[in-house]
Amino acid sequence: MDDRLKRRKFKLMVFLLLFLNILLIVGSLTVGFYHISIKEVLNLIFLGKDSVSNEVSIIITRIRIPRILAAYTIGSGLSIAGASYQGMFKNPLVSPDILGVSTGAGLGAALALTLQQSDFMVQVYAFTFGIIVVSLAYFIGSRAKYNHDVSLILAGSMLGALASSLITLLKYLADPNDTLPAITFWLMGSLSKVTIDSVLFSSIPIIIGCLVIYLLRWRLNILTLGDEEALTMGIDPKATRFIAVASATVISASAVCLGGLIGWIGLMIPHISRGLVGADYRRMFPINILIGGLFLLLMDNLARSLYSMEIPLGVLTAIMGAPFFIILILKRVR
Amino acid sequence: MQLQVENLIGGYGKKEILHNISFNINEGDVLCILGPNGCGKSTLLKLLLRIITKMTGNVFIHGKNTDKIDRKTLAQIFSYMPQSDRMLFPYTILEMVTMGRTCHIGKWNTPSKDDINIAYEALEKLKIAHMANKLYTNISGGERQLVLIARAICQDASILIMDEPTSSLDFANKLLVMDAISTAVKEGRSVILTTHSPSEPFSIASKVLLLSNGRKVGFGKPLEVLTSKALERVYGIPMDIMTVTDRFNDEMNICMPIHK
Repeated sequence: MDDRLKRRKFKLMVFLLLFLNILLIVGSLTVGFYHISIKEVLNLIFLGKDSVSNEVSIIITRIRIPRILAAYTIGSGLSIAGASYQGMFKNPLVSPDILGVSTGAGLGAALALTLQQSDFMVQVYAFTFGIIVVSLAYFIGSRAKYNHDVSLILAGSMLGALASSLITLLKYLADPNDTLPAITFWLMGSLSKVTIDSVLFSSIPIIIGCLVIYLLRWRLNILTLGDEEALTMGIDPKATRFIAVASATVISASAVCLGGLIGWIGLMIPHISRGLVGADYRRMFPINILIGGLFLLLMDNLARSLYSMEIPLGVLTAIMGAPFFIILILKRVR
Repeated sequence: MQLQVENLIGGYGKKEILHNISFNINEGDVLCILGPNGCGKSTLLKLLLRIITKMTGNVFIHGKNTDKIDRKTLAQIFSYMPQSDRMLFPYTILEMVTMGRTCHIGKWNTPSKDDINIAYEALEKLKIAHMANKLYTNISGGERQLVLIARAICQDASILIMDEPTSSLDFANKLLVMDAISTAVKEGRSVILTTHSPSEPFSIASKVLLLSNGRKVGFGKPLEVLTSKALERVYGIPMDIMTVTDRFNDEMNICMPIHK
């Protein structure tokens, strides 16, 4: 049975990715405006705080580690959210941004910022708007007369466009000295304002969402068969879909709160993972986490080092993601 | 397993499609549901599976009303092979078949090694174990039907319900699917399938249910139900039932539409 071979290949891939991840995470500690050598990083890790200068230790623990954690949780989280939306809606072309969830969450968050709400309420607003958008997109898509797949994508894009124009309206009305720059900068998708507090605050819902989806991993496979088949296999498709979609939306909304609009991850990474280990969510899930984190961390390193000024992260992922989407359409999906 | 359907009425929304259907089958029966397009064949299957809710009537399994059976247990009684199957994600055949185990495992669990072995055995029974690691998205329509029958065997359902399992297949693949159905029947399972071809019941079915416009026109053994008179009434064209002898001197019945 060459199933064993497959399992071995999967294990090998997990190890390889873990190794790459560790390498990149340690390497990322050296990337940034203030020059820190790899030797200083290793000293800090293995010999403790006293082996490096005070400045270096503060920059690493207060600025770089939170930023790396943020990139990693957002990258992994959005990949998991994308993979679950794709399975739940039986549509390999959807993701948090294509469904309009990210922009919807962005609108919610921008509204909360304008109303001077607390960080917690920003997350609640983001989630509420995100879930409204995804429910509407799904409702419109499933009520369409023909081609549900395309209708779902179109409905998501339209709702995203609507949310984005409402964001523009908010910006127009916002206080130009204070709120406007905050909204604008944050919506471009950037991790430069991330602190350890904001990372911990947003990563908790992301981790909880991922855990729930992990527990559902086998049932997600069954739901890709469609509701009627899932029902005859003893599963309640509506309840399962609701839990998975709510979890994916919690993840997407929290990711938006933490890093703004960072698109395309949720579309690209699940396809890459599927190409590597197949569609089974049991295998795809860990690979998704590892590649998603790796990818966004790499992008964030590029964002801070390619140019003398920092490039918005959302811009970089879009430059990678848009051509990827076009290739997917032309290949008509693996 | 004994299945008894009594005065079943149902349809989509408020629209009644099936009127007062009654029949029963026993263990090892192959029931062919035959009738023209739109006569309610698929609707009947979906009513049995409780995919759509019936208006009135009863379905009994071994005397127990299926309304009182929970989904998971119902999945251990009925398996379903739908008509159109569009899979967009690249699952392997073994993964597809293992999905049949879902009704035997806990809510938050994943299939165990035993479950995977059962799936593999199902593939072996249908002689397609060599394809276990091929992608379901890359195989032919006939092979897909075999995989879905393997999944039904893996699900260990007593009654396999199939919606037009042979309608899109060529001759050779049709025979393969029919062989697979007989394999399932030899294990003591019953099969309910719908078909478009009036000759098909003669070769595989032990019972036939003839439908027209949502009404039962006949039920019983194929030779008793499928007379040229009954078929003419249902399809509105002249049809002859012929007995032919093949090269092995075996007799078989075929149904011929007369086209002049």
